[in-house]
Amino acid sequence: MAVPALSTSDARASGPHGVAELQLQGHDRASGQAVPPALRRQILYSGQPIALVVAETFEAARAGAALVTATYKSEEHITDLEAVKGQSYVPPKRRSGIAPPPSPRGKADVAFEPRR
Amino acid sequence: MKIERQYRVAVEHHNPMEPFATTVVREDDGSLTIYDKTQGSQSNQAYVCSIFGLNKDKVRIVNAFMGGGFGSGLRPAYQLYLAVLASQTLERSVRVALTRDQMFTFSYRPETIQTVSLGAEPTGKLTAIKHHAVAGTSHFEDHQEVVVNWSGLLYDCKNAKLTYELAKIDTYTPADMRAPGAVLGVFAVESAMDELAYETGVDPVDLRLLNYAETDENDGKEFTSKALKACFEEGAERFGWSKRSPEPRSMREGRELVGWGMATGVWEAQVMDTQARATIHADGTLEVASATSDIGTGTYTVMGMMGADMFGLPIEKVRVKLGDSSLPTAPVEGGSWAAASTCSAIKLACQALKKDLLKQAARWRTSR
Repeated sequence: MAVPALSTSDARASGPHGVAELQLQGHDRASGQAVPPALRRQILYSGQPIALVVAETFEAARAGAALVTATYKSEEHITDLEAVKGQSYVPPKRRSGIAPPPSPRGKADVAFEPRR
Repeated sequence: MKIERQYRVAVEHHNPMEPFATTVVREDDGSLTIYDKTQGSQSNQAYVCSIFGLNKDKVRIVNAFMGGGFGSGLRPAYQLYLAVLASQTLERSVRVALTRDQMFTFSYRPETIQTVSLGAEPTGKLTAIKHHAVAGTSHFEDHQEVVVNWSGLLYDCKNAKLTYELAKIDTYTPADMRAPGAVLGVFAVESAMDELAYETGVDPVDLRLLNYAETDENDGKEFTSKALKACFEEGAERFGWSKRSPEPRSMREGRELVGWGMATGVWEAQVMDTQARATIHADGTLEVASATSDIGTGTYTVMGMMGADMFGLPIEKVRVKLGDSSLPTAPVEGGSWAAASTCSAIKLACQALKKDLLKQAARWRTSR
């Protein structure tokens, strides 16, 4: 099938124009300075875009996207919070504009469970 | 007397009616006009400029209308990045629209596991509040919300321990969604208060009144205003709360079993730095403008009402401009701050404009 005016961004490159490999950490509410994990080799979540097909029409783009093939090497992954709740942590870097919990007041542990 | 309960809230997706879509219109000189589904034209402009190394005067973002946001558009969604990347690579205009299926793969309220422990005297007076939350986040970002703080704010209790932690799972990063954090935390503490009401046999409304907070004990500050007690009393009166029977399965309507319950909701009343412009035209029409957004919440309407009110004009004589990064500086529309912030700015702009108009009118009169 002929697919007119097709261009692809290829995930096998180290990152298109090196942009996708920019910093992934950080979350600035004001400017949202985070590059999404897209068009890169490592898959971090289900639904992560692996390629973008651009064409003159929607139908051509969809036909082009159908020609994209991908092979994956499966790694261990966990999407169940219950399974990892024991590995919880206090976020080391506070998100801007989000108040952390206040310091404890009084003695809640003792008041809840008085020593006999 | 004490109770300890665990509350789990599953992932919840925003999924507004309009899926994310970005249209990048590229001019011959390389400047971009980007029609984007977002709650913040200027924050996305800053994002595009910073990631692609473009000057602000080369990137204009337009979001004049938006088919619902619910917080999903507070951060740039990935199709913006992909559309600009393709446009820059191919040196042409590009549109990228997401499918409904794709809308389920990112930006959602995080799954959260909470434990609420309440200690109380037999009268129902709280002696201890403990609230611990673990929320899911991605491996590449620490998404944070205010989940547990509300428990220390809502009730008068001298012992409170509130803790919030994250745990990483292999999903996309969660995002702010409709009163982020509060929906999770207040649901948990209010459910626990209901459990305590049942344990102590104290009426749920009375239990809230007994533990009513007169000051913000988290921050040691006075409330600027608080009318919650009046709300409880008025609500109970209108609902006929006194006719409620607390025993399970004791109230019926015909063949149906009926239960009555109550709970408190909390959210912040925030105001953010916002700029607005007011312009009066020779034909007597007023234009008010700000780079805020209307995510379906009625920002166009309230901005128009504010302008009309300030000049005593019928609303048909007021034009509203928003949803364009080239307009006066405004934050993302979110946090329930847009109406208060934008209208305050419009009020000040209109006051300045009126003063100027009167000054010019006086000068015109004396010069004749």
